[in-house]
Amino acid sequence: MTSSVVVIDDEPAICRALRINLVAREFGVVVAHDGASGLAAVARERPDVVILDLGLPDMDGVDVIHGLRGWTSTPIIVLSAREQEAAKVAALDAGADDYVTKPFGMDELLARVRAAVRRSAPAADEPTITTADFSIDLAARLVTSTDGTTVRLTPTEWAILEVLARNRGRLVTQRQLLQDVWGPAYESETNYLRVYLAQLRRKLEPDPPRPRYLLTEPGMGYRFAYA
Amino acid sequence: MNDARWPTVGAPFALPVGSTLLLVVAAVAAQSHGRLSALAVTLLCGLVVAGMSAMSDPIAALPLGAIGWLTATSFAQSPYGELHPGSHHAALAAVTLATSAAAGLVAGLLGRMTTSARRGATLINMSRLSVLASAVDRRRQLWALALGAVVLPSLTAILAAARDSLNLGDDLLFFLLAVVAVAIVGGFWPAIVAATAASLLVNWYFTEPFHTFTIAQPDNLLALLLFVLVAITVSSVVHLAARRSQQASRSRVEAEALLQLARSVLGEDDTPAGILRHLHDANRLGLQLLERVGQEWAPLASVGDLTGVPTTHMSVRSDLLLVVHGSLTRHDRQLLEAGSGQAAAALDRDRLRTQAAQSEALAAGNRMRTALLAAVSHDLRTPLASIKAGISSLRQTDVSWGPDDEAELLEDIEESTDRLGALIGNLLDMSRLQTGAVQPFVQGTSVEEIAALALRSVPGGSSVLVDVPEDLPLVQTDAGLLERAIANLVSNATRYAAGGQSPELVAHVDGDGLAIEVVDHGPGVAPADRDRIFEPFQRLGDHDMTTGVGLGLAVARGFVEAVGGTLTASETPGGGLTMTVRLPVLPRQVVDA
Repeated sequence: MTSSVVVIDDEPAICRALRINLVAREFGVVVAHDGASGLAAVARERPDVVILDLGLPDMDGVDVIHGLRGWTSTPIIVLSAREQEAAKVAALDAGADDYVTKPFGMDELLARVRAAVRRSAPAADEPTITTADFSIDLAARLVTSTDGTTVRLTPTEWAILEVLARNRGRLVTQRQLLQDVWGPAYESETNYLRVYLAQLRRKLEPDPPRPRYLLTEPGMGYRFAYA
Repeated sequence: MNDARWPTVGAPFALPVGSTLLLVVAAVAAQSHGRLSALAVTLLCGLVVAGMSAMSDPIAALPLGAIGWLTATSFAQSPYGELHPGSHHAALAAVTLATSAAAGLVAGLLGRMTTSARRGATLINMSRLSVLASAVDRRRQLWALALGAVVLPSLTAILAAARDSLNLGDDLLFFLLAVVAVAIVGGFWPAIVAATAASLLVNWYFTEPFHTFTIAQPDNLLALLLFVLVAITVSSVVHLAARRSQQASRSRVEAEALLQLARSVLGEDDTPAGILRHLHDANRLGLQLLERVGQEWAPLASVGDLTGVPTTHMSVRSDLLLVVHGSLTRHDRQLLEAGSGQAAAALDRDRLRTQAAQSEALAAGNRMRTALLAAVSHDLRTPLASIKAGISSLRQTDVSWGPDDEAELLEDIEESTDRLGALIGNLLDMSRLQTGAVQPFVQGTSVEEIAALALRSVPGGSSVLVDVPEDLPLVQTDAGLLERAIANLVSNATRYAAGGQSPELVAHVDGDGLAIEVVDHGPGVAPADRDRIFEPFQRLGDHDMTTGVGLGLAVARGFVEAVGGTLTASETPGGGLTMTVRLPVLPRQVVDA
């Protein structure tokens, strides 16, 4: 089954590059150059992923997100030259799933698209996630490092790792993580996250100051890097 | 002790009260039948006079002393109630009472000076006196004195003629009527004068023995004393009524002024100058508000006549001073104290409003700069993003690109690189213009050659229709700057001509100079906006991709003006925009040489 992507961007060269790359990876691609035709295209095509520029000629991209979130939960990846944290937070709060700033590497964007597609069409969940340095058994709630020893995690550490691992490759916003692990009353306690992520990195990462797996997306949230 | 104040009562109170006390002394002396010595009675009278003089207005000491003397002379010793002005005792009483009155007067003045020096309120006492004097105005006082001067002698003559048919009681009632008439016309002081004159006349002409100041009958003396007391009291009542009505009208003026102040605070006149104007309207004083700036006092606002020496300095706050020119009453002072507080508050509000406006302007400037930065960073990042997207696509190893895809990606990379290069060129040109770093190298230049170079550098320049005759004179210009200007104009024209009629580049002789026209047949620009399009950074934010940040036309005009030409926009006949560059021509003889 081929997945489909709607690209909403007013810059023709970017649209062409995205179309060529996505078609080469057997995605169905529809391109729209402004917000109104983009909303219409999403309604018509029911894509698996939407790639959205924020600076559109007819309306702001954040309004497009609001328009889409009124009726669909299709993953939205924002692709924008706006790099201020306020812009990122506004887009994520409006309901975007991920945020990539221009200029961007094509491989990085494709990885985000794949992660988004996985969420939109969930396959049978792999019970075990294996990386080069450790493996996570989601069913047995067990983390084993490659030398065979069990990594001991506190219940909170496990809860955070589990949320990130189940959303592997995708951005998990601070708010979402706090809500899933601590509950709705703790949505603004971002300092909790910094503490626990630092502990998890000490236990799992081969080089904690330069994490390979548990990545921080500044101003946005966290991502379990998993190709 | 700051609040200690010398007790001060007005003469209209002091005189009736003093006279009554003296009558009481007289009655007690008469009832004592000699048990109270003459000296004691005289001293008692002196005590009353001194005390009342000290407490009352200075001017009341004189009548008080006179009444005291009358009392002491008549009631100090038996026979009581007889007045013998020529007696030894009368002379002694005169000295005692005069001394008492003088002592009371001096004590009162000293007391007031010492208690009020700290308060800086000598003006208050002066103003009290002036209020007393002016409760009835001076003209009416003179009229009343004239009335007394006419009526009293006439009345004396008539009553003297009818002495046989009228007794002393009747005479006194007639004189009382005359004094009341004088009081109604002239107020307190003329009435006191009239009462004194009347009592002397009655004493001289109507009490036995006639034609002396001696009074043989105690009844007559009592009647005369009561007459004086009633006359004084009536005068006092008339005076107080007049004063009350004057106070009421003052209060009305004050209330009106305060209302105006309140209105100006609520309304548009909420500035120190506006408040001072309202104060001036109420009291006609010259007013100036000074503010301390470092060690100096700088005038903030002033109103009215400021010539002459200031009468008062009122400290409003540690940094504000109100200087008053002109004579100041107690009421003026109260109004000024309230008003100067308002002026200080108005000053603060005024400053706050100014600050708010300034921060609003700063905030607007900040929003402008933020939006501008967003526009420029968008325009720089977008071609950069296309280049990176293309290159990172080509470097992918999991796909093998077909020749068409590869060509398309490479074409986009090249196009985006050109766009980025043009934008960076314009940004640099703009900053050169804005920092004044453009130094044109002016020489004779062929427009034909420049046009060809400019068209070659613009994407889509090949579609432009060119009409540049070969025999045009050389122009005085910098070849490089003119080429950049024309290229920007052509680039702008092709952007709006997409899909429609091709733009044109036309050059012709125009008067003394030469005109180069770049003509498009696009949507055109409204006349009102034709100057605005030459302003740099027209587009803010990142929403419109088609126009760029709007540097091209600004750079074109900057360069044309740098080489001594002009660039104007006009409407193309049939729709669209025509940009006209006018340049000076190289004088023909130089070409010939």
